[in-house]
Amino acid sequence: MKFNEFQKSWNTFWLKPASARPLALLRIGTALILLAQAYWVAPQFFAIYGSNGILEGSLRGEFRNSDLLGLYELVVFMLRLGVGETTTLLVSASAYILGLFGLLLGYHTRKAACLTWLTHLLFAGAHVTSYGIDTFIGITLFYFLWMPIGAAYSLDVVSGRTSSEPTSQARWAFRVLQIQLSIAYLFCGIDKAMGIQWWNGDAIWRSVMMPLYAQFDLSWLSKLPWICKVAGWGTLVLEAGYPLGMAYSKTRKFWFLSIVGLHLGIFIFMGLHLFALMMILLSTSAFGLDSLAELSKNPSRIPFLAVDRRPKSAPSFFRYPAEFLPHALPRGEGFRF
Amino acid sequence: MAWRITLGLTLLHLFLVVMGATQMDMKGFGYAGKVIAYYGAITGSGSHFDFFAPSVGSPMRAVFEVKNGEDQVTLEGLGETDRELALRVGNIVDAFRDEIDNEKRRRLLAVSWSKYILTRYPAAQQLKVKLEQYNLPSLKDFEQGEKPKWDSLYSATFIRKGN
Repeated sequence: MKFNEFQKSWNTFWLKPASARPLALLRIGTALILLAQAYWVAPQFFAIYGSNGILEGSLRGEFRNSDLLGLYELVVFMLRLGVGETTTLLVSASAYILGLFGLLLGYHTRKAACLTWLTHLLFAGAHVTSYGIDTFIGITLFYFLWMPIGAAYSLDVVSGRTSSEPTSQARWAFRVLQIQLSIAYLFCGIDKAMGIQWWNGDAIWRSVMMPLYAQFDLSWLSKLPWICKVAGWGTLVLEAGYPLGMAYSKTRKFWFLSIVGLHLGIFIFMGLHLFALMMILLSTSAFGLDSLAELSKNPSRIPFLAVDRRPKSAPSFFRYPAEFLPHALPRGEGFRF
Repeated sequence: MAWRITLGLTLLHLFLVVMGATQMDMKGFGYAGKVIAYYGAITGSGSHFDFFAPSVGSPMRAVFEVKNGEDQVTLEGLGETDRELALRVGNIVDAFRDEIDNEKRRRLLAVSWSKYILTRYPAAQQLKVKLEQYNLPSLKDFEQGEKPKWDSLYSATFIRKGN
C-alpha cells in the first residue's frame, strides 16, 4: 500500500501535466541574452576567433578549456576543402544568430535549438575565452534540445505545429531544470565554503574591488568589514541552501527573492550583467513564476515588508498559479515527444 | 515503458551532473571515463560550478608599450573596450598564468599578442609586453594602509625586423 502511494507521488512529481510557459520564458530570455552577447562580441569577433587575432593560428587549438572539437578544428577542416577561414567563421556566426532568432520567435523551435546548441558548442565549448555564463548557456541549450520550449509564446503554437496544452513532458522538463539548478547552487556553495575568504569577508571585498569587476569605489568597506563578512556568509547560506530553500514551499518565495537579490548585486557591483541576468532567468523559470504570480496579486506579501493579515484558516499562499494546478493524469498517457 | 526508459536516462544524466560537480576526473576510468568526460563537455553535465571558489583569484593584465621611430611610446591593451570583451580577453590573459612552468608556451602567447598589437601600429619599431597581476591587500591590511598594486610577472621586448 505504501509502495503504491510512493509510486503515485513519484509519478505525480515527474508527470503531472504542466504548462510549458516557464520553459518558453526561459527560451525567449536565453535568446535575448545571447543576442545581446553576440552584439557586444561582434566588433572583436575576428580578434577573438580569427587566426590573426589575439591567439594566432594553431594557438587557438593549443589553449583550450576541454577536449571538445571546436571552431579551430572546423576552420582547419574547411580549409582542406578549400573554404577560407573568414567564410567559415561568418557562416558559423550567421547560423548561430539564425538559430537564436528561431528560438526567440519559436519558429521551428526544435531545429533552431539544435542549430544554436551546435554552433554555441563550436564557439564556446572549448574556447579559452569561455567563462561562467557559457557553462550555464551550454547546459540550457542542451536541455532545449528535448524540452517542450516551443509549446508556448511561439510561432509554432500560432501556426498549429505545436499544442500549448499542459503536458507531462513539460512537468518532466521542469523537474530536470529544478534539480539541475539545485545541484549547481549546492556545489557552488560547498566549493565556496571550503575557502577562508568566504568566511572572513575577503571574497566579497575582492569581488567588488578587483579592476576587472569593480564598478564603484567601495574601498570604504575596509572600515566596515562586517558588511563583507555578512555578505559572504549570506552567499554561502543562499547557495548551499538553495535545494532545500526552493524545495520547501514555505521558504521558496524568500529564497527565490534572495537569489534574485544576490544576482542583482552581481549585476550592479561586479558588472557581470549577462551572467547575472541568465542566473535570474534560470531561477525564475524553474522556481520563481509561482512566487511572482502570487506577489503580483498581493504585493504586501513581499518578505521583510510583509504584514500577513490572513486568517489562520486561510490556505497557504505558496501555491502554483492556475496554469500549474494539477490536472488528472489521463489513463494510459505516456510521454509524448 | 518509454517513460521508464526516459526517467532512467534522466536520472543517469543527473547523476553525471553530480559527478561533474564533485570534480571527479572521469578520464581515470579508462575508455568509459573518456566517453563520460566527452558527454559531460557536450551536455554541460561535467561542469564544476566552482565560480569564485574556493577563493577569488587575482586578475592579470597585459600592457603593451608601443614605441615608434621617434621614440614616442603608446600604451595599449588587448581590446578590453567593452565589459563582455574584457571578461573574455581576461580569460586569454589568465591562460598565461596557467603556463607558469612552461616558458616556451608563455613565449608563444607573448609573441601572439605582440603580433596582434603590432598589426594596429604598422609604424611601430619596438614593442614591450608586460604581464602583471593585481595584488589587492586583504580587508585588514587595506585598512592598515597597504595599497593595491600591479606585480610584474613577465616582460619581453620585441623589435620589428628589417630595421
